[in-house]
Amino acid sequence: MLVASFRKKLPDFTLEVSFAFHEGTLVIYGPSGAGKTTLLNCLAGLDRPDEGHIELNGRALFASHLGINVPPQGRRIGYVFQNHALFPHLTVRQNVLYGLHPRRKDGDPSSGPCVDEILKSFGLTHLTERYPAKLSGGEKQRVALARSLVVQPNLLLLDEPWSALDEESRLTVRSEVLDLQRHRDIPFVLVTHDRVEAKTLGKAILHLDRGCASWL
Amino acid sequence: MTGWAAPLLLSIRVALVSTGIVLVLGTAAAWAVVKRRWRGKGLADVLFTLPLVLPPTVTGYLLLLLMASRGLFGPWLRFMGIELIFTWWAAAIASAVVAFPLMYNAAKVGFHGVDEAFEGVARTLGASESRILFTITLPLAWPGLLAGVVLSFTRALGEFGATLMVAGNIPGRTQTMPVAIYMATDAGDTKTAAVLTVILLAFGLVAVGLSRGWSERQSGRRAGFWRS
Repeated sequence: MLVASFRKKLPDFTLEVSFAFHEGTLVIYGPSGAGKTTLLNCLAGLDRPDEGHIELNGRALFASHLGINVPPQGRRIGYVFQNHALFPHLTVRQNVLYGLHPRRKDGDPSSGPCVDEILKSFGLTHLTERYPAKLSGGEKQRVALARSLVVQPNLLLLDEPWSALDEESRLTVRSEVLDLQRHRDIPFVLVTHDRVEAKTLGKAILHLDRGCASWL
Repeated sequence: MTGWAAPLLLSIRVALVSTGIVLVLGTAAAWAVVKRRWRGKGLADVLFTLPLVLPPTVTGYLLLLLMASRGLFGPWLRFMGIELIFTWWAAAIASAVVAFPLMYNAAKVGFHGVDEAFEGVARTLGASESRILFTITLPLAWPGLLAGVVLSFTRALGEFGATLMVAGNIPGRTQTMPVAIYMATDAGDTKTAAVLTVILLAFGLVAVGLSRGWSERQSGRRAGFWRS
């Protein structure tokens, strides 16, 4: 369960949101420049709201009145960036492994699924030694998803995850993400500027315009 | 040793030491200014670049005020048993101060080229700030750092004004190449001056060529990455 209620002053307007969200996919829809990415950054801990609180599964991640601001490293929130932000100097395998403690890379069975299984489940087995520059848009997407899920986050944020893809791979990747959400027991927060897409993706749609949020 | 060999070896030693100093300090300063938020950053940025526009004799004079026996750190240096003025260490420090802005600015360009999204994603994956610095930021900024090293080394090799002020002109001990060229010309020894000039010219050409290639390589790779 994600509870968020905060304000953050941006150069042109003030981002002001207040919502609670249990399961499935929360879609945040709005035109570009509406504050969508800032909202995700605040949830992930990469940006700091001016005031308010953010709580995930009963744990306070940010609470201005208590002086709590858990750094992104301690939030267990996965984040897939708009351009995937795959580390260009690391191979697919090194990208996916980045979030694992070195000790866990050998596949300690008690610490979750082994890495090879994760790579396999994302259809990346044949790409492990490639560098991001040599991947297609859909492949980059899968690497970014695998990388963020390897650390077993409690929430996954996706910022326009398929904006860089062509129509065909967009549909494929979209259904992959929906499948993924159904198989994982964690909520997704997904950002899009496409109204049609917003409606097909989630039941809960938060409309954001110049920092003001309202349910659709 | 012939007239040009001793200054050449001394200059290389001075340039290597000062390049080592500015590689660490210049990179750290650039990282703090580009990647961290703190008060007084604008002022620090001005101070870090200042030696670039100051006449080297002014830099040398200010260094004298700090290092001389009656200077600010003089009593402390004497207490530690360190004698800096008129040693090659003074030349290395002077070269480091003069070369610092070159390393600092090249490293800044390198760090600006590292998209904050990479560091952000690494944070959400639980990586500590030092792990991010050594596995993401520095490896991606290396063309800028390398360009800074080459420029700093070449600048240190050619340092004249500040070096003369704090290290003097002691043949075989503090007489670096640029100082030796001045002295040789003054004494009518055109051969030594010409040999040293050709050596410095060659270093300069190689340095500018290398740093140009690296900065193009960095911008080329960035374009390639985002073109995807």
